[in-house]
Amino acid sequence: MAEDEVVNKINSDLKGIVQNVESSRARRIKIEVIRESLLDAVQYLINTYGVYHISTISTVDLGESFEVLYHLFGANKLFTVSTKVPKTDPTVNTLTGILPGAILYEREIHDLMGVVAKGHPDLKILVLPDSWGNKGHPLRKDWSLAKYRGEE
Amino acid sequence: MLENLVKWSRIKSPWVIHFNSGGCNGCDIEILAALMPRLDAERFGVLLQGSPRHSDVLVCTGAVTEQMKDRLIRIYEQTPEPKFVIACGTCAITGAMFESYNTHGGIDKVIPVNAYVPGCPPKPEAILDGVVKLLTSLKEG
Amino acid sequence: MAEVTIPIGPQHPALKEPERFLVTVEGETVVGADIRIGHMHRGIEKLAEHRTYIQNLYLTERICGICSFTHTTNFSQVTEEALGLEVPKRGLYLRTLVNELERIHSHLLWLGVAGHEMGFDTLFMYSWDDREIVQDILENMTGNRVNYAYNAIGGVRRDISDSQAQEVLRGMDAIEERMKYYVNVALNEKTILKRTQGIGVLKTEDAKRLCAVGPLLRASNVKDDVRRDDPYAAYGEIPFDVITADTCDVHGQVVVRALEVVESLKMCRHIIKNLPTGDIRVKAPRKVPPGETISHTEAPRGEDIHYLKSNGTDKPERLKVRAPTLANILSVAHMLKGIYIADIPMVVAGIDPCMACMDRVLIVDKDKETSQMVEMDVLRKFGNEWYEKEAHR
Repeated sequence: MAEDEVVNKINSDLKGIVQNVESSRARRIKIEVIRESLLDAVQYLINTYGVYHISTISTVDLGESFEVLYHLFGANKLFTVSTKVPKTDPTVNTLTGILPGAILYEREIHDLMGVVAKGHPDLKILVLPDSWGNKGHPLRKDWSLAKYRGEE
Repeated sequence: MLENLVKWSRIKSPWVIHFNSGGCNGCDIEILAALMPRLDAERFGVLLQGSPRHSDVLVCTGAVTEQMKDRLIRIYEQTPEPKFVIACGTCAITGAMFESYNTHGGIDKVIPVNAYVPGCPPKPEAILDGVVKLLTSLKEG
Repeated sequence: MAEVTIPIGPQHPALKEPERFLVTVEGETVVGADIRIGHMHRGIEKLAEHRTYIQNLYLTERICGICSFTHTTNFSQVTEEALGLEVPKRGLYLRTLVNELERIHSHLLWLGVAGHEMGFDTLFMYSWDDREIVQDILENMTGNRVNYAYNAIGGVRRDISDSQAQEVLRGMDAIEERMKYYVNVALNEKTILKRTQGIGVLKTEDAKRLCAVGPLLRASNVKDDVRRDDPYAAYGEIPFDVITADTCDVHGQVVVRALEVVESLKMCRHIIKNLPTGDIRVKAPRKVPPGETISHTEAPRGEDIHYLKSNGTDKPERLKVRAPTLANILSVAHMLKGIYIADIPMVVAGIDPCMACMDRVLIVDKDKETSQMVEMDVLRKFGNEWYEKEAHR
């Protein structure tokens, strides 16, 4: 199946949910959704394309907001479902209900970027030291090593 | 007389424990490669030990992460006297490129070090050379 | 029976992701396992934002010392795609060759470690000795045994001469001869069968549900391999089989890894015999135009994924890396449930998390509130003796 067909199919099937669908090259498809419809879009990919594998979750600090990207691999395509969340309310719905493999990745983005997955079973610290406390989220752009060392 | 015997046996059978304090694993496989049949560190009496309580030489790799710092100190304290520490690899010596919020920049920032083996990673021959140099200095000093 | 909690680790002298398993046991049987990782978190993703693309190539190489080449392949691929560079065919073939050599050395290394964990130290010494053949080839080709610095953005750094190509072929012959022995050992040796069959069962649906990757996934009879499903470098042009096993246990993983080495040997020969002529590298500009790219590769341990967002400068806006062991940790926690304490080292070593394995075990008795430190070596010895004493199965 060519990528264009998939893009068109997703566009028509998920009308009203997706904001933009594009394919940058073969086997790469990016789907932009608003955060309320994140689960619907992922569920659609699971049902339609038999996706069962979540590769990881990336987060990008865009200044005023965060972009959260879910990389899903299935049907020989790497789907990226992306959504934007404001910095004042950095929450997304958890994927663990439909993709249990996301448990660790949601804990990771919580640690490093401070994006909270609502409904996650246990959002305890994953990669940072136990003594970290509330010294911020190191991957945010306003977090710097000098500031961190100065506070020490 | 007895002192000489103790010294002699110490030089002839240095038991090592290998500790990764947050390295990339490159040095660690090279340490193991030095113990493998090709180089056979056992001909110098070097034996890899799993427990710090049975070891004389602590071979450390990695830039010491925040989580491993306390454990490194504890392992060092558990090792019986006299003990020797070898910092193996560039990360263990200076922290190398990993100067971040979670690293301490080298083994000697946390515990005293007796010998340094540079390289990223050092070749097994270099690691063996480091161990032999440490033993030679014991013989002299 | 009273439940007892055993934390294993965290001193886990290997890999980027040493983990600490908090294992709850009832008598000899494990009933639950919790995970704590991050002891080797070095903040690489933050460091990458402050370094140029060239420097990042060296940084990503040092994410993991065993599968370093797959990380630089990934990083080169995301950068090349963002730059719109077309890598010359010869460069892609050489990149693929080193990727496969790395898989051979990593799997041989794992085979040895697995042998060590089950008290079969002869296998440990044998396979590590044979691994030196690959290490010699890699050193000859790239200049270093580990962390080769062979990848460059836009291709590879060194060309291969005829005599080097002949040496690769000779090495492949030597390893193939030895692999006959290892495959035979993996399939028939009683020690291996007793310690791995039926241990650490991960059913197909569980492997899919928990998003396992690599040999662990393929040992659960799922025919997934990034090299085949999303071909990168020259993988689209090289014939190979995806090896799977239907036993869904640690023995399946041993067999999958052993047979994958044989498959990799064939691929290396194919690459050397069909090596295209031409350049190995194109020159890459220092600044990368804004954009975002994703690349994933099949590392020896499974799928490794890099995500890059560039912003027009010579430094990345964001680099996200997910190494394969992280993806397999959930599966390990699942596999530990229901096994005996004596099998813990085998199951944890099964996913190939590391070498010398975890260092010590703390046994906490909930009722008596006492704790007892146990070295990992002691646990390994306990496991081996436990199996010697009686025929449990």
